[in-house]
Amino acid sequence: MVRIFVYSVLLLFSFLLQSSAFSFLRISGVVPNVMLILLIAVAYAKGQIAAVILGFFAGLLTDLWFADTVGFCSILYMFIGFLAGYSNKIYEKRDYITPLLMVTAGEFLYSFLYFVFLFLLRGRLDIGNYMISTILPRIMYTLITSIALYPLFLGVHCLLEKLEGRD
Amino acid sequence: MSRRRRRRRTEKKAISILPKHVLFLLGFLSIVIMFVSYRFPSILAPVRDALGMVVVPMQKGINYVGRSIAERISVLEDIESLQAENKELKEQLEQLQYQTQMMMLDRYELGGLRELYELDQKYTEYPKVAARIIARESNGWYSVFTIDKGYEDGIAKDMNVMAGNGLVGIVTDVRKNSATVRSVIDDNSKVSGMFLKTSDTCIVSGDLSSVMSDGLIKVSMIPLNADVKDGDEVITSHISDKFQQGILIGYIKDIEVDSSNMTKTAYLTPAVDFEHLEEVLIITQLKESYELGNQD
Repeated sequence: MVRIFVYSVLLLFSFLLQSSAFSFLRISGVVPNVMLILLIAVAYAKGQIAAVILGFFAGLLTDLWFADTVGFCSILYMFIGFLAGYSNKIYEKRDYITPLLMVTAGEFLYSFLYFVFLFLLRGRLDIGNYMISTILPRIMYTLITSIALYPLFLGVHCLLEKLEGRD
Repeated sequence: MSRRRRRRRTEKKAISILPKHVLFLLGFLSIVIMFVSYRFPSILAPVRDALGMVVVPMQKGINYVGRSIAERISVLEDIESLQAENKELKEQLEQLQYQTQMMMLDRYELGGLRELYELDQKYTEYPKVAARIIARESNGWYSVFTIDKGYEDGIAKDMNVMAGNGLVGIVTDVRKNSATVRSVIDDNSKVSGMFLKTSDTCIVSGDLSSVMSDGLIKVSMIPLNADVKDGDEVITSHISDKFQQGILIGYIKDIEVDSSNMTKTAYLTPAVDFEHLEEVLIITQLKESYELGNQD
């Protein structure tokens, strides 16, 4: 119960950070994908099921707020959460490199699939241009943000573990 | 004992939920939601409303803090550049004052002519409501943002949004205390435009790749014989069924003849600075109702 509540708060926190706070800190027109960082942190520390459920709600939140057709981002986040969840088997609290690599790969996958389904299928074929102007800056920015935010999410996770261990 | 334990363990495994089951179940649910929200958009309205009740106050708070910090930083900016700008602006002001006087003379004449044509209603000012931008689409692919006014404040779908004297976009979704606006630079946006000088119509469509590289959007379907040149104003046209007529969209640039040799294509510099957009004006009059009223 506590865990569900804490993760809901974290999700809302990430959403607000991504949609409102970072719009003051745009770099070349993009904001970092904070919810993806949370998703990777949960997938790495908690495993696939938690990540898939979190991904579902993260996508739902994004789509309900900005999109007309709800559900596409859910599928993307869920899929990435599912793949990232495999890394739970090699979970190591001190290891910061693996999650950062996963954030990079995850953001690439997310942006690329978003491009393929919502731009390429509408006949926007200039993939090189989109790669340089949107996808790459976003991956870089998300990676840099995750260096600051991943320890925070991990800290919350460890705190929860301690709490549950005591119970 | 051990055998029983083992059996219990295998039984437990048989019931336990595997991650892929969760993925398929929620994935299926997402697809169902996708179809439902596409086919019946109004079903999700209460959910969006409820979400708005939770999120909007927080977004407003964050926005307030962010803006005040940004203001502090901008105060510290170089005073010299501001002084130079001030001087420049004063010169401009003098020029403009002279121009206004000339315009006023023209306006008196125009008023008389309009009365003759009974067109005066067409150009009256639209009623407007001011709103603040509190959130922006965060995937980086679309230029969609949220404003802090909803149907409680009289905002409705398809209302036009302006900033300064330029067109920003159109309201696509309304919640109780907030609304979503799609800007004209969005990749999905298409606006029917018209050249102020020659009344030739054209299509102004947002385009992510040119917005990201030069801040320009695309203009197509300009008639081949249209006598237009760089810097001409493009306004919303009378053809559009959602956009009010006569709102400035931007200035034309780089006109080229299409390969089909039938129409011309160009780029457009938007009249609105979308990078630093904070406050917008919503025209609370819908085009349909306006036309209905006109018919009566």
